This record gives sequence, structure tokens and C-alpha cells, in this order.
Amino acid sequence: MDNLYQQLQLNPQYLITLHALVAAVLGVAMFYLRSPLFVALSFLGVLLTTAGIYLLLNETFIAAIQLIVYAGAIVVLFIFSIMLFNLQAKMQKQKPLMLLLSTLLGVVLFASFSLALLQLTTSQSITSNLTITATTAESIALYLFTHNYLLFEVISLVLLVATIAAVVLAKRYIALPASEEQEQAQEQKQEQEQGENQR
Amino acid sequence: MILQLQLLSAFLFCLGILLVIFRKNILIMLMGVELMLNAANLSLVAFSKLYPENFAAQSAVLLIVAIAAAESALGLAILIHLYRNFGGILTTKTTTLHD
Repeated sequence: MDNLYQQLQLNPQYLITLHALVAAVLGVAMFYLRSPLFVALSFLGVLLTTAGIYLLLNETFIAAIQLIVYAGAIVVLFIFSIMLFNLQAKMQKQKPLMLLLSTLLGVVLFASFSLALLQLTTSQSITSNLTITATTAESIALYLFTHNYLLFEVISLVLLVATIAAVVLAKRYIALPASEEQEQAQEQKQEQEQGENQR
Repeated sequence: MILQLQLLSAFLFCLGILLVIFRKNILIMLMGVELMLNAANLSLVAFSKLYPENFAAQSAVLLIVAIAAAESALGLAILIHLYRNFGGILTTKTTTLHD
């Protein structure tokens, strides 16, 4: 089976580097853009470039899952909730000091991660070029249903619980008819408030 | 090549952490969490290229994607609750436990 990049007659390494650079730039844009809609769109860009990297690594099934679940479902959910919450009116500018501090913290975090990774390269052969073998959905399924079948069942339970929890959480509670004590308490509260207003 | 992908994954993970810590909008904080999960997926897939005969990473990625979807659905439900009770989803408003 020919690889995707062999059919395209392109060097996969350059393409992967290109995708990685685009993903990094879009990730930085996620942090510095103010509007939630633009943040969601750059998040979508990061997910699409990641799916492209999966394709170039010949992980076609993972790429499809990434596109369907992440780019198709989650980002659309986010954009829908941006539409529902009408956030455009309440945007605030971040303070320059906080911006500087956050950039500094990000640089420190990334430097520590990279140092750990570069130490790893001395013991493992992760800098060498690899022959990329294709991963089929069949082999993933074989592994999933022989080694990880218990986790699979647990995940199905988690999805069910999450669905029920989302419905319960997002439900609008209907006010029950208030008992007499509550009514009296409310009346007292209102009287107090009126008294304060008069003062 | 795997090193490049690991660096990208670390970079995206750091950005996710920064989004969660420094942004005031809870919707964007949720996106940061999703970005971190995505970075972990990328790292798993890139490392799995060292062991072509082992598919543990790919099956783990499938499960992580399912968890991410469940988490985003729950997060948005909580967001709806916050919007009703606090009149906004900025962390400057939701300070009941703050003072």
C-alpha cells in the first residue's frame, strides 16, 4: 500500500514541519486573541493541522476520529455556546503586566519540557528518521478489544453518565409553589429592603 | 522527526496551561483543557511510531478523545448554570468562594 505522501511525491518531513509550525502559530494566536470566536477558530485550525500530522504519519483512523469528534463535534459545540452566551459585548483588555507574566511563565514551562525531551534523545533514538508504517483500523480494534476491553466498557459508562449529568445540569429548574414559611421570610426580606431604601 | 512532534506537543500543552491560568473567560479556559488533551494525543501517536507493532497508544487516543467529548459536554452544561446564576461567564464574576 502506497503511503499518502508517496502518492503526492512530497517529502513528509517538510510537510510535518510545516504543519507543526502552523499549529504552533495558531496556538499562540489562541492565547493572544481577545474575541472568543477567533480563539475557537484558531483552535479549529490547531485541530485541523494536528489531523494533517496524523495523516502524514499514516494514522488515517486517528486522523478521521480527530476530524469527526474534535473538529466536527467539540468545536461546533463551543461556537454554538459562544453564539448563545453573546460574549462580544463584555470583552476586557488584559493588563500588560499580566500579559508579560504569562508569556514569561509559558517560556519557562516550555523550556523545562524541552530540556526533559532533549535529555530523552540521548538515551532513545527519537531523532532518527523512521520508516512510517501504516496503522489500520483493524489492528487498533484488535488491540482495543483484546487488551483494553475493560477500559472500553468503562468509557461507555462514562459517556452515559456524562450525558445524564449534562441534561440534569442544564435543566431549568421549575419553581415549586413556595410554602408559607418561605413566603413569610420573603415578605420580611422585602420589607427590610424597602426600609433600607427609604433610609 | 519524533523530537519535532514532541516539541510541538509540549508547546501546545504549555499554551493550554496558560489559557487555563490566565484567561478570564471560562469558555476559553475549557478550550485550553481541550488543547492539553489534544497535545497529549499528539505525543502518544508520535511515540507510538517507535514501536510499530504495538497499538496501545492508538487505542489510548481513542479513549482520550471520548473522555474529551464527555468533558466538553459537561463543561458547557456547567457553563450554562454559571451564566444563569452569575449573569456572565467571566471569572471576575464567579467569586463566591473568593472572599
